[in-house]
Amino acid sequence: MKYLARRFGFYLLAFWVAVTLNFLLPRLEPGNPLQYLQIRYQAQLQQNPHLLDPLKPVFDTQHGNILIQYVQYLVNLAHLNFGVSFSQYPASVNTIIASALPWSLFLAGSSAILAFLLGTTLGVVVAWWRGKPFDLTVTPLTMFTQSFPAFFGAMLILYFVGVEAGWFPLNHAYDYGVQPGPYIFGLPWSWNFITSVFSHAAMPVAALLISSLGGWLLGMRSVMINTLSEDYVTMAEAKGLSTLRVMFMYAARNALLPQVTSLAITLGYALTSLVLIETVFSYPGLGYQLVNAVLARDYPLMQALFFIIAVAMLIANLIADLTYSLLDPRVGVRSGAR
Amino acid sequence: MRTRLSAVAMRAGIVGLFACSFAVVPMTTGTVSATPAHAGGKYLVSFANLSGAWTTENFNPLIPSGADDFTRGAIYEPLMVITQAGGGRTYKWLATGTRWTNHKRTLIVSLRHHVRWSDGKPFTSKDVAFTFNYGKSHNVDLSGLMVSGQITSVKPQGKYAVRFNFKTVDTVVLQQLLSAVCIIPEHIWKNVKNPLTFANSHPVGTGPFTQVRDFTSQEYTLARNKYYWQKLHYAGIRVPAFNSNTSALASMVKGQVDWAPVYIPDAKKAWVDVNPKYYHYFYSPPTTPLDMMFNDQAYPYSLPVLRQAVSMSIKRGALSVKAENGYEKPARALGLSYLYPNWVDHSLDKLNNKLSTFNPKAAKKMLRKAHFKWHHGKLYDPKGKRVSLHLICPAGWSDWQVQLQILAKSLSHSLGINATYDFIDVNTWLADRSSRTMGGKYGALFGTESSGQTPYQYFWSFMSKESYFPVNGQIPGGSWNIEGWYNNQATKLLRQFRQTTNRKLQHRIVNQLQKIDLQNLPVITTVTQAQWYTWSTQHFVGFPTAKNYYAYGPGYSYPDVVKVLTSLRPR
Amino acid sequence: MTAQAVAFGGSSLEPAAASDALLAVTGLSVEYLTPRGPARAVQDVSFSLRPGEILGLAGESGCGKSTIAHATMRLIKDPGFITAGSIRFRDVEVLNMSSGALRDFRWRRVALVSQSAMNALNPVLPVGTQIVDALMAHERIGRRQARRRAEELFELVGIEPRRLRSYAHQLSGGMRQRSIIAMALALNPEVLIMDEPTTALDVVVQRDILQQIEDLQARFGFAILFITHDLSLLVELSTRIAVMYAGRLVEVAPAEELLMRPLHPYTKGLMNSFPSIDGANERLEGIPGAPPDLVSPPSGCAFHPRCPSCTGEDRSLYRLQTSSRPELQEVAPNHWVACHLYR
Repeated sequence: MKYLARRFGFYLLAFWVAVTLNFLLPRLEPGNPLQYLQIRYQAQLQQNPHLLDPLKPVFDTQHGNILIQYVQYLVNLAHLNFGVSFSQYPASVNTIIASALPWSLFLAGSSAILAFLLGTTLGVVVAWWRGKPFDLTVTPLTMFTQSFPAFFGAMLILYFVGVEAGWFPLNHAYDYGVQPGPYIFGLPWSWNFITSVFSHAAMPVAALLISSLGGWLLGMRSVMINTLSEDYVTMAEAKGLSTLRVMFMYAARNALLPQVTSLAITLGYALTSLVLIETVFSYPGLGYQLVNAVLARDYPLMQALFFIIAVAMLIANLIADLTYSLLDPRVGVRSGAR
Repeated sequence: MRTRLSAVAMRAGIVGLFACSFAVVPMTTGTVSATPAHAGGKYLVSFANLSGAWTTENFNPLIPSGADDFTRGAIYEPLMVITQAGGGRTYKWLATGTRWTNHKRTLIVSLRHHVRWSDGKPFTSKDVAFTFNYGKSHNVDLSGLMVSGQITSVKPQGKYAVRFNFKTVDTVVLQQLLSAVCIIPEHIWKNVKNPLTFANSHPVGTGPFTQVRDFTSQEYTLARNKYYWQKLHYAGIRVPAFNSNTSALASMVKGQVDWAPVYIPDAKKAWVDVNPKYYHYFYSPPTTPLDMMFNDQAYPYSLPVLRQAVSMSIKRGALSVKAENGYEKPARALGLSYLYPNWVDHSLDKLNNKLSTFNPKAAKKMLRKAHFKWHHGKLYDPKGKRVSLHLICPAGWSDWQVQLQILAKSLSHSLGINATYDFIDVNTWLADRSSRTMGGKYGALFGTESSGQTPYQYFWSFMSKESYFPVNGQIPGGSWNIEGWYNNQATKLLRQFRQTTNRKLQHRIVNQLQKIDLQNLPVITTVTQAQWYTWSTQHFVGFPTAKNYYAYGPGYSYPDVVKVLTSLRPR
Repeated sequence: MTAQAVAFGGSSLEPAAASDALLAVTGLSVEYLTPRGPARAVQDVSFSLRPGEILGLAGESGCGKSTIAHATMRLIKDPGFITAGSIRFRDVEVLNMSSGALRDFRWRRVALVSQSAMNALNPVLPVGTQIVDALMAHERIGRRQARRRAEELFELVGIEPRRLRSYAHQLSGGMRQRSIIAMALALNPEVLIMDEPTTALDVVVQRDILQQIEDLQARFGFAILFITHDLSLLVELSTRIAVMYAGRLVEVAPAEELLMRPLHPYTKGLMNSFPSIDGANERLEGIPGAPPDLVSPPSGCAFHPRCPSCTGEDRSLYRLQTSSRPELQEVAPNHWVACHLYR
């Protein structure tokens, strides 16, 4: 219990730091959204220097005592009120996030889980038959695909699979004009819509997969090889258990612990790695919005997005901590002993 | 004008990579099938820019965060479409004519009859007067002329004419007045208390495509206005959201986009060769040239001879080819040479040629005559101080970076100037620019001048005392008189220019201004700036081309987009 | 030659052919591939085990005892290989079994009580589940039935059945060892291979466990191959004792015979290495020197570098000791030794 309380304390502190940094960064950054608009509307401004006057009061929110601003910021945060977007003014930041978040969660979640399941399973298999042809082809291959940046893989996929082969739609989250259909449990259930969503997700997910699969595979492989030499694995074999049961229940399950920890963390990181992928595929998620927000110096939107990413990371780490103590009973004892 | 964002360069890099892959593996042509986009009717697919982010229906034409200029052009129309494209053209639009009266203190604009708003209500002079008055009272003045007080009142005169009363005689504001302001319907906007927060989800305009359909955050449709006053040849436009060159280019090469304001490096290979029958690009020149701007009040850059020598010591051809892929042509020392060919004073050709041509030998001779000296190849000013120059531009604006590198190298090599350069954070750069610190006393940065229907705006923006703000003072947004130079005679000439409608007199004035420009070279031109756009004639024809340059080509050019949208025909 | 006599021997002997042998290992050799070359962990070892018998196998650590235990159940894994020999269980060749037959053979016929109970238990599964796993892998019984059997087994070894839910780290050392024994008994095997079952335990617990093993053996009648480095344990427990050095058997004799009359200098050394279990205050002599390198073992008798009787006083004996490997020979009834001193 004391252990848990300490962990929670740590996360609370980390949360506060993230929130405060989020408050400070836009204020430390030179320039403001108005200057961005000045470049963008440079030609028109030369004709009409007053063009941006109406927006000045909107963007000029950072004045007055910084402490009062900070308190106001915290109060707004507590109400999850992120204010109004600059670049899509007068749309509220919450509206933008509500429309983008589900797509990012879908993309990040499905790719992380797929990568975890596929990578870990492959890791178990190549470790069991290590040095055999399967191991000698699959392992270097995933190391290779993992080595180049996600967006590069995304562009290759976009070009070869999307443009050249034409197998999947090139951009967006679903076909324009497809109706989501009836909503049940808050989710759309039209068959056309679902197939459309999956075919649109195929290339972004594949891009995320090839860049992350290798990590899972290598991680699992090395831990697994260590685990395979453990006595209890030999014992399990001696007990006459089936290969699959030995492989997964005795060896893999022990080797899985570090993997599960990384899974939760990966889910948090996935949101950040989405930025470039969503840009390459014009996928309407948080990353897409973040790129536009950063370019437009849309501080309210940026703050909200960074806040979400920070919270996602913290929750992911917390989950990792909790899962770890659940999966490895020894952690619980250690903590109990303190 | 090409939007210069730091990301443009980054995107250009990505596209470069992408373009290479296209170049290596040529696409099979003719296999691009008709996309669902065109299956139902004739819908033009196009978009304004590569930051297509919208969540809610916001078609407010009066604020920059509302309708983008492409969408604005589909829904809202100006009184006239005035463009510098193709040497300058004027199209009568909602207005059919203008007439000065009252010793040029009053402009009477006559309006087109039988124009209706997209909700069926008639368009009248009251709407026009309302638009200008509303702009003033609610601080959303697209012309800038109401807020500045230049126009004192706007009143309807009968159903189809509007009177604009001017504070002083000013004949050069016509483009601003007629072309930059989109007319909004009084019967809708009179109820809008705060135009800033008004999303205008169901826009009512006089434009060709006003009906918002199937709005999603990744795409929407603007269907035709059934009351439109001209014949329309297609059903509407579809606007997909893209935020990267890569993504847009992929859709473009698959024939899913008809018209795009996208820059493709090596456009021939990466774009045209994919489907030479249909795919085109026109990186249309010219807009105002890109200028190197010093702090002209800081010695020795306050000496015209040094500025002239600099102009003769840079290889504009190299800047064009190495930094801009040759898409932006080398500029002439006289900046208006390409933009206003009909205004050029050819008696100045010799001087213009001399200052435009790379000739360091002659430059050195000029400097030596002005008591500049060299020690061990290093240039010292007449006061005996080493001449140095620090060039800055935002990091990531890759073409500018290349220009800076070339400039610094050739200036130190051919003149012996201690030329250095730095790529800095874009925000710092912006701050330096508006405070005109230019990264240091002897700094220089890039900028452009304004342009309008006549060369007036161009010269005004860097030679008039009216555009001048004291150096070390904050300059207002939009002003580009960064070099801090003005000339009393030029100021007088410009004032004279705008008080007359006599074209002959105006030409004489411009001739004198050209002379002042060349003799002083307040700013040094480098390359002409181009506008990037591409189109496919697979589904639609009638885009502006080099041969038929009837309007600016990128869809974000308002009001040119109004002209283009109504000129297109389905194939 | 009695049946028991043929139960032991090197390659020079007839293969163990005792029809009443449960487990007959003949000429077994196991090698591990190392970067320096193959390490011959077990060489040419033959022995047999009869029903109800407790056979002790003694030797220093690294002499190949555990390898024999693993080889018997075909658990040797890459980079280890069985290079020669035969392992017959009830006249069926284990080395030829299909993977299905092998799975069935394991644990039902021969079960293993492994060296370190801590490491032998899966840390992330409750011990009960690990017993149930073994049961369900071999018998067509439901989980609940298997659970009940596991409870019975725990009672049998004297652990509260509720401890089935515990994880390995929650049990004391003795309890872990007992639960492993319970696990080993789950399918009522005919042979139990116990590989250092009591090494990690303190003396009192050790005693308890040994007592329990004896009781269980008396009750269920399984045969035991008891592997330990502690010869003194075997003397009390086993019927016969085999002593191993450098991958080979060097002496085999009935337990009492060996206690009274150890012949091989190495056996003698082992006898002196440990206090008797009675705790009598004897002087520990130990054996000077280190166990030989199995990749390149000494020539002749592998023990000769450490042998107190290899002094070189007798030139011909010394030549023999350093150049010729002694074979196992029956020097007294049922007492076999591989040593040049007993020719």
